[in-house]
Amino acid sequence: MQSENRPIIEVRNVSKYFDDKTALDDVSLSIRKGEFVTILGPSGCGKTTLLRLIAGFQTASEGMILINGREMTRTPPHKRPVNTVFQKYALFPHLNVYDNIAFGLKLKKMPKAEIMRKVQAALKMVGMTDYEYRDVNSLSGGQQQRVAIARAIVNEPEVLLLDEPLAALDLKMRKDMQMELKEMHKRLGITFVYVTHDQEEALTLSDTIVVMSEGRIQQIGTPTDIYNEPVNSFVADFIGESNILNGTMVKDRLVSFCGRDFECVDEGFGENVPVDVVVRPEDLYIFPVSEKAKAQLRGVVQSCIFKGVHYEMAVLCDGYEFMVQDYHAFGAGMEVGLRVKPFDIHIMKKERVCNVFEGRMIDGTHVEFLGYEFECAPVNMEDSSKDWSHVTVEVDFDKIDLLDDAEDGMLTGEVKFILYKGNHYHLTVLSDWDENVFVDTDDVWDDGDRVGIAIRPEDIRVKVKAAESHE
Amino acid sequence: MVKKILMQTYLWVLLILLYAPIMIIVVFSFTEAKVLGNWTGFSMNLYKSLLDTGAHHSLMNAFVNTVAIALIAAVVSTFLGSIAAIGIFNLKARGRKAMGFINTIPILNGDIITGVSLFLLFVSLGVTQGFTTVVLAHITFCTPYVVLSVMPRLKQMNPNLYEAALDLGATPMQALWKVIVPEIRPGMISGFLLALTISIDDFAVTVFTIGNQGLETLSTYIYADARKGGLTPELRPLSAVIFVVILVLLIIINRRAGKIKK
Amino acid sequence: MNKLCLFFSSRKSWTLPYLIFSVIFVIVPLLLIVVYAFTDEAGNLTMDNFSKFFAHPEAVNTFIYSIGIAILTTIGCVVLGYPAAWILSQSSSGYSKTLVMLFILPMWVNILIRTLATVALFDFARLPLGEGALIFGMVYNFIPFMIYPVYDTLRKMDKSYIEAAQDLGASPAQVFWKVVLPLSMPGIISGVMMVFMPTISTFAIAELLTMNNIKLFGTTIQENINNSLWNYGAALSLIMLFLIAATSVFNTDEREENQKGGGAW
Repeated sequence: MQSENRPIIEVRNVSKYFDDKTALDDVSLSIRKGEFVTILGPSGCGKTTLLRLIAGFQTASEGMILINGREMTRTPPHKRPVNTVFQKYALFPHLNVYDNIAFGLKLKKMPKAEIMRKVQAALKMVGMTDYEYRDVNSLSGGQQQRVAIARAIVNEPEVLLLDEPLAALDLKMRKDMQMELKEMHKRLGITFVYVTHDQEEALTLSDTIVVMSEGRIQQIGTPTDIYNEPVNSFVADFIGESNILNGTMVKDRLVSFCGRDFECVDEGFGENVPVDVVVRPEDLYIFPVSEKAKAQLRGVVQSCIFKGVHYEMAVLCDGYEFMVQDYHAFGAGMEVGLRVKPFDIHIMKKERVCNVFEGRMIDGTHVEFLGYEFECAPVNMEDSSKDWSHVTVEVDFDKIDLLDDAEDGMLTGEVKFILYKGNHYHLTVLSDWDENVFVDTDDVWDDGDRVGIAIRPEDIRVKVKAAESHE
Repeated sequence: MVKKILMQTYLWVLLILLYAPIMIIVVFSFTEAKVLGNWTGFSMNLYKSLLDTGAHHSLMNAFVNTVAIALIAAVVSTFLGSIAAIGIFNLKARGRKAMGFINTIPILNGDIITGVSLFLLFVSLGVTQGFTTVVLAHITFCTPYVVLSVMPRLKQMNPNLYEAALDLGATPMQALWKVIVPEIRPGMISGFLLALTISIDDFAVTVFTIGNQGLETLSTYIYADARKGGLTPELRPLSAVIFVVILVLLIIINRRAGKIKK
Repeated sequence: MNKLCLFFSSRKSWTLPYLIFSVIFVIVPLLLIVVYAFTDEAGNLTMDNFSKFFAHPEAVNTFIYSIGIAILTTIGCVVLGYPAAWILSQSSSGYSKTLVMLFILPMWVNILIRTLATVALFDFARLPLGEGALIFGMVYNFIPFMIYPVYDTLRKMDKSYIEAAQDLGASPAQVFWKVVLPLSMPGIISGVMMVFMPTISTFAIAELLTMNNIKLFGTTIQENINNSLWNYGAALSLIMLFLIAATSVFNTDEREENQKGGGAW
């Protein structure tokens, strides 16, 4: 059937700015009818903003939103065929359970008997029969959540939007509600758009997961796709647990990391290309070093923690730390061997191999970039055929120093994202002028730390193009 | 234990001191003597002559004026202040700060500055001062209190409530009436009561804006009376009645608030 | 044009009636005080009103005396009110709520009646009217303004601070001076504001409590306005306004704290 394949929600090139902050940056997304779609990302990634744009509580700065084929970018929320379940429920405290659920139906001037019938059906759907005349403030969190869902679905929306609906519930309750939501989705047959920061919840519930970070969609795919084939180190780190390491693609089907070569199944990266390598902790086989099975890596267990079903061990091999999960425990101090199957090694193209900034020369020993003036190694600027006011500056990740006691007038930034790469941390630092600086460091920093950014003159590489003939 | 008794004694001594003057008025409303503090035997005559409008027409007249001014000012400032609070709440940080500052000016100014400034406004505009100017002046210093008592309700409100109503198909107007007004109603009521009491209590602003057309409120009446040296004896029963009425009203309000909380 | 429509349909525009009202009845009148203060009766620019004030030792003395009375009243309210607020905050919730209400209740009685009642009390007790009666009357009138905010902050204070201090070895006195008092400072400051401001600008009350023997600055202003000396009265008001503005600077930090929060709708 044609209508089955038609997208119910289409988000086309949507951006949203709050004053000068970018919450969403050119986001496009298409949701099929009946799908359970989860928008997943850390707090502040723009997922809630995207949901609010679909609901109509906010208007996109750029781009277009279509619901059921109709352009609705600027349609007010009360005229959209969608309903929302809010994070903190937003039940009307002055109304009882019945009046809360009947709110939308009464506005539609539906006959009383029909309202009664529908409210009762909705209550039955969420397992809250006989709660009609209870005060909403007297209900437990889980019960309030059910009423909030009933209040939304009673209006028979084409799309149900859920904004972290389970975030306020305790773990046990959350697990139960997850199952019920999934069941409800099946029975109702309508589209669910679900926002969460909980990757496990996303993997459990969804048909499709949309991973977001810093206002952009990182990856869209089924839970298995996202888990097994993360497109970049952010997704790999955010979904599940992983060991992420720097490596080099020697040639097709052969990758080198941790000081040795491994067979793998990936092709088409070229030869001797730097890549990111992802190995899930459960894909590493661990065994005593004495065993005959050939160990690809040898190391010493640093710590061993019981996690309920499995043990989680940190194993140090040639200066690289691996996280390993296994049903058997290997105590700290034990020498062990590690092995990984070729198709369990995931190769990701590196987005960048060094920092590249736009800049301009001020004089022979000073260059301006990141909105700040840096001293650099002397540059011969005599060649006037070159455009010295538009140069490219390159700085290696490990050549940037982060200081916690930034002096006055120094360039500073905020640590945004931390990735552990086995033997060092890869940090994303947002500078004062909203540019990302990528730093490799052995020091431990926390998310949100304010840092001073220093670069030694000899580590700044200035590259200049020949001045183009001016048009 | 001794400490506890001492502490409670302190509280009650303070309370008794606070209530002593009022109690004296109440007690001496049941005697006929012209001068306060002079007990000439129990009598209800002062209450009788208070009701006898002929004898003390001007006192009852002042009382009626006071209540009328207070009611009008409280109703108008409750509406003006509630609408303003909703508006201010929706402003961005800077606008909210600016409006918050403007709102506190009449509170910080003190009665006398408000009184003088409004007096200068009315004489500059050539307005004859009387009932209308007093009401306008009272609205000026009552509204900030309404804004201040509605604001916390708005802040406490789950910000998604309004959106939830829109989401369920309410127009912005319906959402306002069916969700926001019920939410801020307690704030509006306490704002109204606050406005009512500070309007009744006001003397300084009234004195500057009442003009010389012969209008009197309770405050100006008492002031004129006191300056003449004596106090109209009927003021005693009137104050006693006002005090008891307010006492009963407050107890009722408190009981209601207690019940709602439960 | 479109933007204008959007503005009027948005909830922000609801500020407009009040903004217009405030401009007419708050801001313009304040500017009028400034205008009158710096002009003479004919409307010419002049500083005479201020030089007249400083040339009159009597007016300056009244001004300083009024500040002194306001400070004494405020101190009286803190000294008597703080212990009361503290005891109230320690009592059980229902009991303390009733008592707090009892403390606030007298404020609902007209301030002049209350003042006259104080006069009656002094007469009754055969105490002389004068400075003592003035300060007693002022404290009596304004002490609820002190008790309530202090009680409120003490009540909301997290009890674990006290327990933490005890745990770390502080004696009851140390707990009070080093933890409770500093933490209740915001309440004291707003109480001081709420007492000092109205006391400084009060008038009429002083005459009634001192049989017309003591005149406060508020009365001076009122007399001048009454005698049609509007420009001089405006200048005196402006001087008081400066005093009020200077005092309220203390309070700003705390107010800003309260302005935080808000929401998206």
